[in-house]
Amino acid sequence: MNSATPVDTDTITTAVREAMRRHEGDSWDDVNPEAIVVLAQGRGHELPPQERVHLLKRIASDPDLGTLLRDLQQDLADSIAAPRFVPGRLVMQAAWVACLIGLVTISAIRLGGGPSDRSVEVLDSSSGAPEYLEQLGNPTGAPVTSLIGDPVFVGLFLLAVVLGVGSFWPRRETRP
Amino acid sequence: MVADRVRQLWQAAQAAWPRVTWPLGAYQTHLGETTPTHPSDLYVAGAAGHRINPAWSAIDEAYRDMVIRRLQRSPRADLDPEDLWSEAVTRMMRDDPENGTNEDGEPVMHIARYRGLTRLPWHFLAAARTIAIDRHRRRERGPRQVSAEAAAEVARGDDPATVSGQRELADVLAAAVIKAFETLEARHQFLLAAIYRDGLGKADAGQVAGLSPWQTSRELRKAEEQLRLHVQHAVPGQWSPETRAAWDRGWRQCWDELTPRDPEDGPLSEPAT
Repeated sequence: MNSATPVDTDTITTAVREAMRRHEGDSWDDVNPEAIVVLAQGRGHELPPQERVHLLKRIASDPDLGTLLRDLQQDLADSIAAPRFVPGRLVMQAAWVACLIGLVTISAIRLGGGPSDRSVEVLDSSSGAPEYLEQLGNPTGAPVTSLIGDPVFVGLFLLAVVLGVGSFWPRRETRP
Repeated sequence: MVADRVRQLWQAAQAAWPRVTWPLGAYQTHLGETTPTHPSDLYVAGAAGHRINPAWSAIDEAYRDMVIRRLQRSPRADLDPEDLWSEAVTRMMRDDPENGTNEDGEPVMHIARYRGLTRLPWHFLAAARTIAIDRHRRRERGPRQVSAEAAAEVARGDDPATVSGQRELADVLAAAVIKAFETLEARHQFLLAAIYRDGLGKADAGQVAGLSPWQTSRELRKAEEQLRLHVQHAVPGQWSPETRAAWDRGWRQCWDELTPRDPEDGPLSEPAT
């Protein structure tokens, strides 16, 4: 064999197709229609494991059984349960929006500068009325710094980044 | 003593099929230890299988139109839907001696194999579709000539030595792919065939194999990878970068021919790495 000889694409394609139609034309006497329906309905787990494996292999090696399966899926489209999978991206996007709302809320509280942050209510001993002592005790310095040090904020921020990347990263179609 | 559960199922089935009379004991034997998803359909199918004629007429009356309506969507045969229904019924009426005999000593009919996992009309529908596709393939397709086709696809070239080398390599590769495919586990074989041969969507193929979308993607990639590795090991020394590139293009070609797209569209994905 000439080791320098490359194989062309058509040869590979033919070989692959050939592998997937090994039992084309075989008798279908051993194929149970009910089992095919159960598979087409996506309920293959209800079949005995051995039967399921056998059937999947039969379909994999006989394109006509593949056609039968596809026809049945179309025939029974109205009786096949809706996919039980919630679109993953939608859930991640919803979680990402929730994280953003959380981040904005925390930032507003921390940076808002309400009296509770920087002033302390005290009782004036002479008048007996409440007064505020402004700027009493603010050891953390700049508000932004206090945000960065807040574990809740940091955790939410990181989560938002991860979810954002997961939600909006351009989807690369796996072949097909 | 008949368990209450079986008696309840039997009573419900009798109510569903009032014209069909089948003894509780026979139903219990037919039911076995399992509780089917559709016990009433199992009742009428069991009765029909034991040659109780009212059961056959009840099935015809209840399910004939339902099945024919679905067959009309695409008969895919030289028979019209009504004939396909009749053929399916005939097939179900075949003797099935492996399943024993009825009270009169006659062999049970084939319909007794129905287990109540899906609705009885879909059982008939699948039988009718099976007949339709089987007739179609026998009519349309002659004996398969695999090796001739494989040989015809061998790379072209004017140099006889090159042609000979390519043919030899192509034969080795084809045998390696077939062997490698057979060593894959069933669901991997199924995913590859359903997607690259039948053009089924990944979600649909995954659902049949009992996989979620992300599991399907993972298993498909795994199947492709395992197949490639098997083939690569089967032809040591022949797996040049060119062959590897041809391998990726070969799979892409399988898919592209199933899904005609706008030529200006970009590639579906990057080659497997």
